[in-house]
Amino acid sequence: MRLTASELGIRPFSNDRYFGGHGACPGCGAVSMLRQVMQAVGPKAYYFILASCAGSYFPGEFTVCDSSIVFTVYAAGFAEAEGMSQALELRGRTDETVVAYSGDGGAFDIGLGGLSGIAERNANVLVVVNDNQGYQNTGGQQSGGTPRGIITKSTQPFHQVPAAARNRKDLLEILAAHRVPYLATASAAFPRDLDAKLKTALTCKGFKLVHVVTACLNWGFESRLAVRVARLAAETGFHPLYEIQGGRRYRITYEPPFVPLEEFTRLQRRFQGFDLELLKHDLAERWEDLRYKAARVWPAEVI
Amino acid sequence: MAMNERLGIASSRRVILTGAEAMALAYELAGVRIAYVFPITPQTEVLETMVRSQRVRVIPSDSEFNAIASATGVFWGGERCAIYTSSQGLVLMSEVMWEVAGNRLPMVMGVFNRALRGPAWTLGPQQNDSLFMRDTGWLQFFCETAQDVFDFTLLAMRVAERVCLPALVCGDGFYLSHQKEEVEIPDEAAVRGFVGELAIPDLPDSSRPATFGGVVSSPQQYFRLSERIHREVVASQDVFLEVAKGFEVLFGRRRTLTEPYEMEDAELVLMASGATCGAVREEVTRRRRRGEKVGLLKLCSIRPLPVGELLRHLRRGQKAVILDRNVAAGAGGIFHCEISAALRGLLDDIVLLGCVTGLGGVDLTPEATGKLLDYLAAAGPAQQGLVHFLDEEGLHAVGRTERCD
Repeated sequence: MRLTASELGIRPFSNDRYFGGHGACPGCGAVSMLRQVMQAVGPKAYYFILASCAGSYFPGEFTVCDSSIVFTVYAAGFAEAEGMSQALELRGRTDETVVAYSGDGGAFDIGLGGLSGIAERNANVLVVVNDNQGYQNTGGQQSGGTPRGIITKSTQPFHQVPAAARNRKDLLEILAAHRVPYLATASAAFPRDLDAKLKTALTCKGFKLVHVVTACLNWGFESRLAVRVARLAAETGFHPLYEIQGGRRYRITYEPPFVPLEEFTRLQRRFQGFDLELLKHDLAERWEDLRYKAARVWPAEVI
Repeated sequence: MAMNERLGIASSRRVILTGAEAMALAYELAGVRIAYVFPITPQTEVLETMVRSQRVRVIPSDSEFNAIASATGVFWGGERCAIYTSSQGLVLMSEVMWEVAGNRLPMVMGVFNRALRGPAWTLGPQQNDSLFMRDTGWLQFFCETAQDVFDFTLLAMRVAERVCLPALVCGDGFYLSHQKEEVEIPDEAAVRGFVGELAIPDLPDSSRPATFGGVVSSPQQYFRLSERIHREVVASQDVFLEVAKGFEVLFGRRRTLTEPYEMEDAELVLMASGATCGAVREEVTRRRRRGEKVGLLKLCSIRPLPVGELLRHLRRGQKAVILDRNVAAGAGGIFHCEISAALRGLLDDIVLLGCVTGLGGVDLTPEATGKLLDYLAAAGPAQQGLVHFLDEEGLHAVGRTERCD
């Protein structure tokens, strides 16, 4: 069943915190996510934007949202957000939220050290990772978030590393090992789930991160299909939706019907010539791990 | 504020401190409430001093890169933040340093200069770390003594906040960071009064949504913003002197961007920055006792380049040599390159040589300085075309078109 935004109980777009006039690609799957994030976070917020596609979501000279935006050089955004939250705390401005908004390149690769640092220090920052599975702002090169086997602009035709020779980094597992208060994956195509996770995140004082896989036009689908592609990503089990409390307690928030993976991949050019069996194996392994962790019962005395 | 009634200035006490302790104390007395730190020799002494403070929240970061990124965030949040580094740490910060200057945030960072991992690792002092950042818009002050470190840290805060640009306060590693000297520390209320509250005209405020640091819509805007930063750096010469006037009234010490020593009738002039001035001052004193007309002009900043003060102190017909504890490979000493270019057309009838000394912490002795003075006395315009090197084995020169066969 398809529901409209109003049926889903999302506030009317006339009350949006993120307006028209932005410079994102028409059909960008991240913009609807951003709109939902800003809606959940509210206007008393500062967004630290790591160099990424978001450079075009927020033009430099005028503002397209009702929050304050600070652009940072690529790897610096997480630590800058931490510094801001420290200053606000010293000044008693505890009703304001500091958000670090990063792409997968920022979080998985170039800024991973900073992300790990503010996680270790449990900085009072909400991190939103817009994971479009590659360096899409520069045209679609491979990042640490690109699933293995996918052809990107930086995949060499004649010296291709065998797909099995590398692995996508598992960001949530990396951060779970830091035992931070709250981690979640989410999808722009599942607004209630996304909204609930953002609200839970905002109740935690300290580090919290919501990892959203968003459909990018560089994946090679028709621009009208971004939401469907994002929905299929979850429905096929390609992008599991779950949350982790305290780095230990896993909960799967959406049980997918496991729609055949081909329905997701055939819409996208990036999967052309791709070994689906390898991907299916990866997903089966990931779900096995996830179910094992979600089923684990922690004794009351250690919780 | 407690006053010294006899002198009419703020009361003070004399303490024996290292340069590192003087720096930490300056931040603390100025009321800075937060510091982001990461250890590196020889700066670690500042970190360890500040950790003992009950008033400054010291946050251990995960790299110098993220330390300065967090410090940037603290300034975005409307608070001052203490930060200090050396060598590799400073170079690692370089990307964020461009951003801090471009965002016009008045951060003041302490640097205890240490040679970079160029031809090898070494812990010795050399100024190439901070000078690497001389094009960014950061002001850059150089200290000879622990008192300089204390004073310039406070002065830099006021100047940085007046011109909305960040500033480095630099001193030679070990010579300055680790040696104890007598320092006059003024009454805390007077220091607070001097630095005042942080006031940045344009900061993010959630009640007034705005975008900071985004993409410009035309190259022309970028050009104009860059030109404006250049103008502000030049203008900071005068701003410094204004701020220094207030400093003198309050604390009784006159601070300038260059400090003349025995310069009135000097025919031979040595110019130097930082701890190098110690050996030079010693040799100048010895020669003056012998009746030789030599002088020292201490250079306390490279940004702003103190051209106004240089023109006041230098005269036609003099012979001068600039000692640089740094080298721009292929060009020579950086102070020399900068000052020769700046004086051209403003003061031409002067012989101005450049001499690279002290790289990697090689000790510059008064005796070696004496050899350089003798060379300078015999030098003429022809020697201006050479880059001189003065090390433990003596003085040698490299021509600008020389083949290295």
